[in-house]
Amino acid sequence: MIDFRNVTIRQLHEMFRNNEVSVEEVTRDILKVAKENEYNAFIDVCEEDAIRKAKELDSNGIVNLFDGIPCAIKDNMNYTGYLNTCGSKILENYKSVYNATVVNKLLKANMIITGKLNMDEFAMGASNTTSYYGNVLNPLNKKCIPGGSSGGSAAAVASGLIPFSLGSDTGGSVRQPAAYCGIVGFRPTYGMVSRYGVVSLNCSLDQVGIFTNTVEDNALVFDMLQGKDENDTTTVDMKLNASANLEFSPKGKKIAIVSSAFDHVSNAVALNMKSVTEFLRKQGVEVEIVNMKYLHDSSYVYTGLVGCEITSNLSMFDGIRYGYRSEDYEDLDHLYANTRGEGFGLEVKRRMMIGMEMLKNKNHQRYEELHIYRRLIVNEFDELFNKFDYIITPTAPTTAYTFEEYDNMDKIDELYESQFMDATALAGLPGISVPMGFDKEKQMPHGLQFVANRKEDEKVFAIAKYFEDYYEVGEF
Amino acid sequence: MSNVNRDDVTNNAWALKVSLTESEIDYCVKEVNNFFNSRPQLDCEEVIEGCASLQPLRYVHSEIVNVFSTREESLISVDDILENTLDREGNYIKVPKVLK
Repeated sequence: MIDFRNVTIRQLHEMFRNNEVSVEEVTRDILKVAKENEYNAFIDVCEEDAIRKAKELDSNGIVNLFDGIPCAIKDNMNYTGYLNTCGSKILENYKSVYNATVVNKLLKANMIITGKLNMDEFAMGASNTTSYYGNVLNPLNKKCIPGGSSGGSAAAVASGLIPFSLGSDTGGSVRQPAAYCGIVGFRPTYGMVSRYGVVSLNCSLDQVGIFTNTVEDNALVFDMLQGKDENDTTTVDMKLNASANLEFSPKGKKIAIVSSAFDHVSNAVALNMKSVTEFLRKQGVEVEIVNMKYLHDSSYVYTGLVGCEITSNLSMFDGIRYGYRSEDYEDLDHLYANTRGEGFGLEVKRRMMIGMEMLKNKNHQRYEELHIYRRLIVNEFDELFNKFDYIITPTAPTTAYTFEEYDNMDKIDELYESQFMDATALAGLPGISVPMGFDKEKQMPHGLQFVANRKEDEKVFAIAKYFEDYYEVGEF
Repeated sequence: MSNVNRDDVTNNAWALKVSLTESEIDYCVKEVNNFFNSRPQLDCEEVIEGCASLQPLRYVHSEIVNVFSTREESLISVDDILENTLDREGNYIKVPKVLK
């Protein structure tokens, strides 16, 4: 059984080419472990198509880099014939009737989709504790949360089962679990990757993201996924070549590190951030500590906007068209209400109630304020990128919490844990989380986030690769 | 201080056609109030500055706002929106010249 923590996509390709292992062997190994589901990362296993495709590739021969490369996708991405539950009871037993654009791209590249991965219900959460299908466990310590909402996607890669997985990142749902599980997680510029066929949490923020064990693997997958899609009018009509542009020269580069990276984080994260700052300065980078006025408020703006948008996005789940239907109803209104009441979990209801209150006529000024804030956040980033090449933050202010710690957290405190990721998502910026060190006491990893301006995704990969190659992350 | 009460949450839930249990209503009352009470305070200057950037896009779906912020060229011009955007009462939005 291959441990993909130590084998990259290129290395696996060479193994296939040299007949060291067959696609079918690799695929069967993965499917077996996926069915055992030690970390509860999988909701569905795509056995039939995976085995058929693997046999076909073995018999036709491996030619292209992605031929036979195994992967898995978050359970909010439609893949015909397989479950697409979004981690919710309301979509229990619902099977997709079409493919998401990203799924078509994986299949066209001859990759093997091995399964659908567990997630917070409708991607609402940062812990993977809101899934109807149970908590995902962190492969580094089963007592800890894996992060969320793409917790299953992170756990599958961090356990070494697959070389990459797809998740969706609305306000950090790829970058934060990557940080908590000690792997690489990338969120592209808004519009670089199609959202068609990915069940929406928040249309103006959602992006498909990528989990890998190395930066280069991540760039390779991004290059394959990106591009204009006529089914998603928000996609950008441009093509980057991130995997061919991974060279980074630190001399003369200007980097801003947000001041709250040192004083609104755990002691261990602050120490690691100081170490990163020293490292970058030694490499010849001009580093400046900057204060971002609206960074902290971004989580309030994010939560408000998500609440507003889900009130309409989730209205399609009514018991008539998809999935679960309540048996307890007298008329159509009660059918809708009881289906949703029984089908949605508490976190979904909490966020819907926030959104509904925000959208009331008497509160319209508050709703408009959210957009004003969003614009101020965008303006603040634009000003910084006039002066700096990159902005750096910790991905999250702490390491992964234990399930017990997380259960006792106040929701408002939890909200501000995501500020470094929410702000960049609100501005549509690309960001990547790479491991930067460990909390020695908790024996769990921290993530460092590199952010560049919109459409500069290549730059993000280049500096992350340099950091991965030259910074001593250490072991725990 | 936000003072959302049980009736507000119950009415909101029914407007969205979502049934809530008694304990869920209590939980949502607490959480909605907590969220609204965490609202940051914009000062006057910030509102004016924010509106100056946002004014042409007011009342337009946030997705279009985002398209503006991520594309160099948009299919929809600011003038299109100024000329065609209705306010809540169905009147064309009149944008003060100073903000254009």
